[in-house]
Parts: sequence; C-alpha cells; structure tokens
Amino acid sequence: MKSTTFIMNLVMLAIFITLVSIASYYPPQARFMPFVVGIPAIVLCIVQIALDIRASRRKSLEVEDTRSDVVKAQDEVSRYAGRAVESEAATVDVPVMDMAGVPPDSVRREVILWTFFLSFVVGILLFGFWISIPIFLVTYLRKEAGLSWLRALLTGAIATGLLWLVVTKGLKVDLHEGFVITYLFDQLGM
Amino acid sequence: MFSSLFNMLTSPHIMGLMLIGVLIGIWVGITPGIGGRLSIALAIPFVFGMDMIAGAVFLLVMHAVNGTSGQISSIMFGVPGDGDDAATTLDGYPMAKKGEAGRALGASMTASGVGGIIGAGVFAVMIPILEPVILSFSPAEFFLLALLGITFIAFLAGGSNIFRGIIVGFYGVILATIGMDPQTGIARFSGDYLFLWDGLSLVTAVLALFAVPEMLALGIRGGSISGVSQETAKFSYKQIFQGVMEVPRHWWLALRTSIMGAVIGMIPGLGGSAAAWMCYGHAVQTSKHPERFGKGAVEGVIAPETASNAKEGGALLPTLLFGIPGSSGMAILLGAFLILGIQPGPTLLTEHLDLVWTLIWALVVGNIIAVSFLLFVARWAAALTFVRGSLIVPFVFVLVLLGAYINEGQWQNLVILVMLSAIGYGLLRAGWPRAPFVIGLVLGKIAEESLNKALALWGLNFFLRPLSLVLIGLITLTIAYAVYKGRKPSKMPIGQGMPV
Repeated sequence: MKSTTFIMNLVMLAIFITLVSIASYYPPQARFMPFVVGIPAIVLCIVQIALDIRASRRKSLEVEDTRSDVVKAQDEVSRYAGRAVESEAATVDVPVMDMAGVPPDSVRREVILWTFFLSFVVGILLFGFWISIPIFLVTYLRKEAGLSWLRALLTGAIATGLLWLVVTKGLKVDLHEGFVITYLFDQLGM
Repeated sequence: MFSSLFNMLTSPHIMGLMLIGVLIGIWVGITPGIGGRLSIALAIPFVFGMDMIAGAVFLLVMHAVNGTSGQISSIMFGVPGDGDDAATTLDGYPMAKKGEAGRALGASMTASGVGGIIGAGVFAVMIPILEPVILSFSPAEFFLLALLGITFIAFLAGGSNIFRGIIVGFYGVILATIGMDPQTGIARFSGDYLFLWDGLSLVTAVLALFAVPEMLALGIRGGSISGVSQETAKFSYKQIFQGVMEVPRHWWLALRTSIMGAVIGMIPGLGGSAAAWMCYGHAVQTSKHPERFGKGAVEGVIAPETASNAKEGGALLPTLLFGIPGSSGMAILLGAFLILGIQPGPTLLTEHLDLVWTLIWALVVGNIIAVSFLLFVARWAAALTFVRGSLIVPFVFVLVLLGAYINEGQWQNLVILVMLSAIGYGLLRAGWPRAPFVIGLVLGKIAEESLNKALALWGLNFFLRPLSLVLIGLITLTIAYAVYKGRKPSKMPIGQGMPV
C-alpha cells in the first residue's frame, strides 16, 4: 500500500470524525445533513482502510499498469475493433516528461515548490499583492525557470504592469495591501 | 430557438467574450501542462458577477474548444495532451512521419469542429424528448440525483476505487454545510469567523483542489516537450486544405462517430477517452481496408476527433438538465454555472430555455470560430507546445491567488486556499480523484434543501416513490459494478486515465 494513500485515508477519517463530533452539539435540524453525509463517510473511510490493507497483502500478485497513453489507446481500440491495431506511434521513443501526476522520489522538488507557494501567500498577507507579485515572479523565473536576471526582471515588471492595468483599471478591484504596509501607513499617518 | 442565435450574434459583448474564450481555450489546449479543467477553475473568479448568459457562454466555449487544439502535439510529436487525444495519435503521428502533418491537422481540426457542431445538435434534439421526464422530478428525486451525480463522477474519476471517489464527494458535501443553516440560523462549522457564515467560497475551493495541486505537480516534474525537433512542425496550407477536404469525403463516418460520441458523452461515468476509443474501433470495423489503421489512415484521425468533441455537447445535457456532470471538466463547469446563478434542472427548461439554446448555439459558433482560426494559425500554433512548464507555473500561481481574493475580497480566503490546497495536493499525490469534491460542494446545498423538502412532504416514504426507486437502483448498480471491477485487478477499466 502506498503510504500517501494510507495517510490520505487517515486524514479524511480525522476530518469526518471532527466535523461529525462538532455537529453533534448542534440542534437536530442543523446537524441532520452533516450526520447524513459524515457518518456514512466515516464508515467508508474505515472500509477503504481495510481494503487498502488487504490489497497491500496481495500486492505481489498485482501487475502495475505502466503502459503509456498511446499504448493504452492502441490496446483499447484493438478491443473495440475486434482486431489488432498496431501503430508506429506506440513504439516511438519520444523524449518527453510524464505529463500527469507527480514522479516518485521528488520530495526535494516538492519542498522547493511548496516553499515558493507558501512564501508568496505569506508575502501577500504581509506586504500586499503589488509588492509580492513582482518579487515572486522575478525570483521564480530566475531560480526555477533559469531566465537571466535581466529577462526575469523585465518579464516580472511587464506582467505586473499588465495585471495592475487589468485588475485596478479594468476590473476596478482594490487588492489586499498587506498588514505590514497598512500598519506602517497608519504609523506614518498616511 | 433562432432568436437566441440572433441575440448572441448581434451582441458585441457576448461575441467579444466568445472570441476571448476561443483564444484562451485554444492556447490552453496547445500548451502542455494546463488542462481544460484548470482553465475553467482559473477563469471562474473573473466571470463572477458577470451577466449569466455572457459568463456561461465564455466558460463553455473556452472548455469546448480546447480539445480542438489539443491534438497538435499528438499528431506532430506523438505526445497526446491527454487521454482523449491518444487515439488520434495512433494514425496522426504516422501521417506526420510520412510528411503529411498538415493533412492530418487539417482533417483532425475540421473533424473536431464538425463533431462539436453535431454534438450540440444531438443535445438540441434530446431536449423535447427529455423535457417531460425532467419536469416530473420532485425534491426527492433531486436529492437522489445529487447522490447519483457523486456516484457517477466517483466511478468516472476513480474507476474501481469508487469508495475513494464517494469519500471525496462526501467531503465536498459536508464542506457545503459550512455557514448559516437556513432552517435554524445556526452558524455551522464557522465559529466566530464571520467570513464563513455565507459558506465556503466555491471559487477558492475549486482553485485549491485543482489549480494549485496541478501547478505544484507541473513545477515539480517540469513538463515540456522541448526535446522534440521543431523541424517536424513545418507544413503548407495546401496540405491543411487537403486535410479539411478529407472530412466531407468521409462524411458518413464523421456523422456516425459524431452521433456516437454525443450519445456516449450523455452517459455519465462512461465519458473520458471511451468515446474516442469506441469510435476509432468502429472506424476499423467498418473500413474495407482495416489493415491501414495505425499506419497513417486519415479515418483513424477523423473518427476519434469527431467523437471527442461531440462528447462535450452530449455531456452538457446531463450537466444542465439533471445536475449530473458527464465528465470531470463538466463537473467544474457546473460549479461555475452555479456561481453565475444557473440552477441545473427543470427551471432551466421552464424559465431559462433561452439560456439553454444560447449555450447550444455557442457550442456551434465557438467551434466554427475555433476551427477557422486554428486552420489559419496551425503552422505557428505548434510552437506553443515548446513552452516550458516552469515558465507557466508562476503566472498561474499569481492568477490563482488573485482569483481567490477578488471573488469575495477577503484575505482569509488565501488562508483557506492554502489549507484546502494541502488536501488537494494530498489527493493528487495519493492518486485519489478530485472531481467528486467539486460535485459534492456544488450540489451539497441543493441536496440538503431537497432532502429537507422531501422529508417534509413525504417523510421517509420518499424513498419508495417510483422514480426514487429507479435512482436508488442506479446508485446501487454503479457501486456494485465498480466493486466487481475492483475485484479484477489485472483489467484496466474502460475510460479511466489518471484520477482527476
């Protein structure tokens, strides 16, 4: 059994138990729907955990499907056509990254990407959108996309300018200014 | 019927939005790493507050046309953008290798457009047939339809692991109960947080469950086809025109596979790539020279492409009229429609029939614009397939956070976004489906309201109404079939790709 699957099962179980427990303090009418959904979900989580444990015991008997999308398509259309269809596309070795899912052993990359994302959110909350967006764009384009500082700075500046025009002038929306910036403005009496 | 078309065509606002939707849809289809689902999720915040018809047309067209451009990388490089395009690769790529990339692209784009138009036509034909059934539904059936919707989408997205899909769907439903209970006035799961009293922001939840995990995954894995030679991207307009003319030459095949695709799209839970596979198989079966398939037969491009795009028109029918999305893309589209104030079900037929016709015409006009535009720019559009994922990720993150904030103007939604993104990424990492969550969240409130009404009208006897029994039977059969499939581990379920 994949550890992430097991952890996800436990997370979902914990969420449902917590929500049903909280709902139990509500009046009958208010807790009815959370119970109607939450209690069967708890049962399903437990069943799923049991199924996963059982599946992990017979894992050696199962063959993981590692066929590419094109090979799968070739096999499926052959089934529907009632005769073998063999395509050159199924045998070609295309130098391409997997276009779906997350590759295994990518914990380091995951930590980096999450750090970028969380830093961006924290940056917005503290310093607002219009300070955080260019800093995030330039840093990401330089560090992750490998652009030169000049190109990263130019791209970041142009993109921020365009967004400012669309959001502020086009949609006429005032974005969050950031707690630190608001505090500083308050202190300065601005 | 035709007044809707006239109103649409004479409205510069709607036509302008449709054009923008077509361009974004085409760009999304060509660029690796951004799927149709993600593009709708990103667009939702920007249509919030827009006129119902204009917003719906924009989103539908954007969703419908990205399949038309998605086959460029399948044909030219043998790299299908998603499962739907894989069947086209079987003959499209061998054609490109023989120096007929332009002919294959001309045929596939025209076939896709024709499929989209016929799919919309099939939807239109089905309206008067289904109208009496839909109008006979009561609150009891609407509660059960919500459960059926979750079950179908759980089966579609999770295959044999249907329990995981249902768990995720129920997670969406229980989160839909956050906020003020309409019956008692109690603020459920909200504590003292006033911003939650109106419920969880659907936009934030959809962005967190789909956009953020997809972008994190794209950033982690890279995701570009830059290793492929750009030399293969060269072809002439003459070749493209030859390809266009292949569709009228094979009109009977195009018509049959379009209708088949639309009908398959109407069956929730089947969807996915099954339409393309079945129609390719049908083309092989009915061909006088089946041995040519897989080696560059143009019919092997026309059949799956007509089916793939016709399926969208078909899938719109259960989405709009029953509230059961025919595909995971439609699940997010349904969420977007609800945000725009479009309630699926009988009221659409009784009060907003003009909207239904406008959407049908939007599919037709959108496909015509997309095909005309793509045939013209195909030579250059291919260059977009070389865009690296690392160049897309930061801009999408910016749009996601802007979208989560703009929707309600609450900074707290950014915190909610991070929390739900962690769950969304966990689901993606563990291979759990995420589409049922959206259905649970969007149908949760309708389900609760319908359940309360049904109980008030009939008590627990509402389960024994004839239509209720039919729906309960369908739910039970779907779960039983998924469990049965799950007991056969060596067989891959039809129509299932990566969980979505």
